[in-house]
Amino acid sequence: MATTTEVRPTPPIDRPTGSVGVRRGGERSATALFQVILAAWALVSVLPLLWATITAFKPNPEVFSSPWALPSSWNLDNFARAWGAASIGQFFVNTVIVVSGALALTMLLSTMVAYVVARYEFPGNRFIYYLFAAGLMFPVFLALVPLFFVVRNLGLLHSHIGLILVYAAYAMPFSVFFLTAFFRTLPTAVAEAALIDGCSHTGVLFRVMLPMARPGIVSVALFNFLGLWNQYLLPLVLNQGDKSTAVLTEGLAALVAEQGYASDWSALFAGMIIAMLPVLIVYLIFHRRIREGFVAGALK
Amino acid sequence: MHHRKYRFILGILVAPLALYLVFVVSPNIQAVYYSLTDWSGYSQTQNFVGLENYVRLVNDSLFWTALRNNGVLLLVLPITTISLGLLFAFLLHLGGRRRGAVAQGLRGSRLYSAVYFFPYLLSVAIIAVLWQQSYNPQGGIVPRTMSALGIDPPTDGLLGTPSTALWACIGVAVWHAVGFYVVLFSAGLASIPRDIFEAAALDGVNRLTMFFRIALPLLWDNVQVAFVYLGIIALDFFAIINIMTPHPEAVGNSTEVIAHYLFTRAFSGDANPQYGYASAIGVMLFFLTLTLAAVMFRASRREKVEY
Amino acid sequence: MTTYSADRSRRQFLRAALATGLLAVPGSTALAGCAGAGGGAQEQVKGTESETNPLGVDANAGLEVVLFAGGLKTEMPWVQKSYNGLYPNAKLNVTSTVNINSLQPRFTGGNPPDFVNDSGAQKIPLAALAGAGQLADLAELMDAPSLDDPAKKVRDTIIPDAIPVGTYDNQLLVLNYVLSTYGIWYSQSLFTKNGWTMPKEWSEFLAFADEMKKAGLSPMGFGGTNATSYVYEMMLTMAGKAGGPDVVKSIDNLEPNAWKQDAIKQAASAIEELARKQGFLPGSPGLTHTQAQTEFVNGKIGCYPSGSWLENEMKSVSPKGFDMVMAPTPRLSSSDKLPYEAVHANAGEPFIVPKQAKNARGGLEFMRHMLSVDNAKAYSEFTGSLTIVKASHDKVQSDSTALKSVKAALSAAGSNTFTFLAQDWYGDLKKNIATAAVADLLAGRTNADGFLTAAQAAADKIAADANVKKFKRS
Repeated sequence: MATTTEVRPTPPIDRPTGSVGVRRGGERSATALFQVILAAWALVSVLPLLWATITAFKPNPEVFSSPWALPSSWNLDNFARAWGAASIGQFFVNTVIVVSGALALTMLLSTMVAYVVARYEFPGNRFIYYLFAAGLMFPVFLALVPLFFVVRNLGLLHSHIGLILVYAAYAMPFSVFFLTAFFRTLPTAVAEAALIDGCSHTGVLFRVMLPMARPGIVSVALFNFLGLWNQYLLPLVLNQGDKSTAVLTEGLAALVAEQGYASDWSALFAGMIIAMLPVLIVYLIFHRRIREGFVAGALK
Repeated sequence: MHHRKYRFILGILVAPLALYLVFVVSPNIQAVYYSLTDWSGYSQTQNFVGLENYVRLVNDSLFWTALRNNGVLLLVLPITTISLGLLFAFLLHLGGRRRGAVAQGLRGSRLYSAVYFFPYLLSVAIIAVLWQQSYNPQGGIVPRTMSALGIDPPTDGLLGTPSTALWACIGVAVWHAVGFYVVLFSAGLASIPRDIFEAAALDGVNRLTMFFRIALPLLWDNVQVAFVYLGIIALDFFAIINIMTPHPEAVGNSTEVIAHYLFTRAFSGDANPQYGYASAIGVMLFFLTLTLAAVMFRASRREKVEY
Repeated sequence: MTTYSADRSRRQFLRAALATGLLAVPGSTALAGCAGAGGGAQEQVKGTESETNPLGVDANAGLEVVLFAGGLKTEMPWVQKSYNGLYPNAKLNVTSTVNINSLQPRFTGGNPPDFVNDSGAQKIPLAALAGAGQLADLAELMDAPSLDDPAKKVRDTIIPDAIPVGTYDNQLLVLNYVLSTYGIWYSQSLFTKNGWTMPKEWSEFLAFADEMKKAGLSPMGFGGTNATSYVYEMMLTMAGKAGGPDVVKSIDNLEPNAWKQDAIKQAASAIEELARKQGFLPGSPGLTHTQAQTEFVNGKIGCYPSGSWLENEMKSVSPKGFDMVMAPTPRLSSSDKLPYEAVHANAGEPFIVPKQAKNARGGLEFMRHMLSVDNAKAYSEFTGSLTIVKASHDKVQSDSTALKSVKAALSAAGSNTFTFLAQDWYGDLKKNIATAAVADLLAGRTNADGFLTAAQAAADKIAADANVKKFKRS
């Protein structure tokens, strides 16, 4: 090994004043290569979405006979079938109610827990933190059946409020974990000053700390929104046998399962697009905020 | 003062803790109890059998097969996802032409990082149909691309061949997750003061060295968190296996993982339901995950780089 | 930027882990007591028996019906109408789901629906429900007068083969309503165009397979990721025709060396040979059954082994004029015990009345209405599938080529029908034989002998497992 090092000519120190022409050329091809890599991955990320969208407009036989071609005619009635026959419309409304309720609740509760755990020393502090962190590691299937009995004994089956409470509870581990880290990064001076000025603890939390924590809260909320919107197992168990409170993921799963037997593929894809649109829109509006939340040091 | 503080803490914690204990902690504790019984999941009675389910589990070769596959996932999924995430984030941040002393972000980097996130938005149902079609040995886009690149795709299909099925599932998982980590690492890079890179560029440091000597150490906290998240995902890996290879035994159990095996034992109509036994699998899975998280937190904790 | 050192952090993490673990044990018994598996039985409703109400249904009680939203999806409005015709005040609550398994906690909790169509990939294993004593005995229904003719018992209006399939430990617990007939499917128009006819013996089929290949078709295909059981079905049907129904019965009864019987060996070798000769569409192990069937209706696969639901399942993607028809599975040789016309037919699509249901009597009555000739006919015309109600078969009006071919096959078979049940009784048998061993055989990872050894080992393991409840048939 040592010989190799000796034989190899020492490269000239590459100062900006060096061989500019060579540098420029290498620079240009490197940049081009990077562009190709990044564009290739962008294609891999976006093509499926495009494919699903195009498929949603196809007549049924073409979905598989010519999967990668444009539709011979653009069928809007696929969407009508999904919306009407598959009750996607009703599920959509249910989903909006449940997800918005759960989101508000989980954000409120998780912020409170995270703030207290991050900023106050008290007996049991670490215990509470790890209790929530452990929630990230519970295998979901483990709790499903007992959860059903808990919800039933509370008389909350087939109700929006039951789903909201359960959704919120299951979104808490991630939110608490993330927000605790976030609150720890915020400077302490402002809060202390406010306390000395006679502001109550509650006042400090809601008037001083929350506005400072906004970037972190927004990105956690966004992730929770994505997760809750696509939540599947919980409603499956807690909602069964009642269409009136069913959410979109259940409707979609029903459509998918029916493909095994009835194969109305275009309606399936149309339903998926309908279900995905709100997520896409929310994401496109807020996606910079995710980054802000991370930049502010949340994940450290 | 202290009295006021504790009253405040108690007041704040009581509602969230109650909700969490009732809906998350107590069902899991009940599941631990079921793991000590012979409950089938359908009868109204159950017998306490002590640790019998755990003894059976240790002697169940399928459990060990599943565990080994989770081990593969645990190695491959985080490393691949994090490497790609770091690569893309770094290129987005510093892959552009040098303007003045330091390289700029690539053109369109904002658009890229938004687009990379798209797979994360899709529901499992869409992902299933999409990838089954993409892997379709009869003209799916993946085998076609492989042929175009001079690689022979397996005759039985990527999902029908024991040696490739798990890798095909991992591919879907990586595709799904990378966007999240690109955003995470981009944010980390953005918070590193640019003059560090400028100084390095002035010293003639090339991009590769910049990546390994500067960016990676400064991003280490983020990488560590990513490892923990992806480690948990790798151990709790279920949805993608269940949609891509619903019968892992059709490919010699090469895609059987613990969470799917639990599901098979507890719910699937395809096996003798044994809820007590399934619960024991779940409890084992929990402790494995816990151990992993503890080890990772310890192993990856390093001296912090301050800047 | 936590202020905690690594070491302290680790210790606390472990301590917390320990605490959660400890917390789990003492609380569990108490919690299980209030929320666990032992729900109290609810009060059941009952009315007065009469000539028109032989089962003593409470005429005013509501009835909760949960149906499977699969290929035969219908909420059977004709049965609802018929039920309400007799009991106008009974409020029917009919829902459909693809995930019947989500009802599981309601069974263990003691408040199941009154009537359930337990079907589909996510059905609750019937054997488990039967073993747990969750199902109402249907004997009373069978002995009740039929809706059409009070002089005739329900038992005498249905195909006798439907009884053993739904019987567990000498009790009829499951009504399998749909008569499923299995065979080899093909496109009549394609065969006519090429001047082909379906061969009757396996050696002829192998020759025909070469001919199909010359015409650019794969002779057969299957969906390997989720439906190798269709090939398993074909294999056992061939074995049953070769050695007679006793061959498959001994498999159902988990008899020692049942899988080493000569008929099974012949059938497994036949499948092995076809696989070795590239008789299955390349890539089949990596397809879903829907993908494989799409290749079939798009003319890339010549023959497809499946059951009588196939046409309905592929309706929306089949090209016009495909004319799907079914022929009996070829027999292995002329020395087969059963004639070529023999078919594997079984009553499928299970309907159950949960024993603890509030209005269990209403559930039984709902079944009685399903079994009337007119309602069975309406079901067949809607779904394209025949039912177990004998008198309805001739009344069914349909243009479906598939239904016509199934009716013809059934009448040609006469009494030569048989079925096998072990794959429904024992989940691990389906997992380890119908899926794992068959997949290995089809992909060439094992040969016929290896298949038989693996299958026998799997069957022996189930027979020896005290945790699995066993069933017998005769």
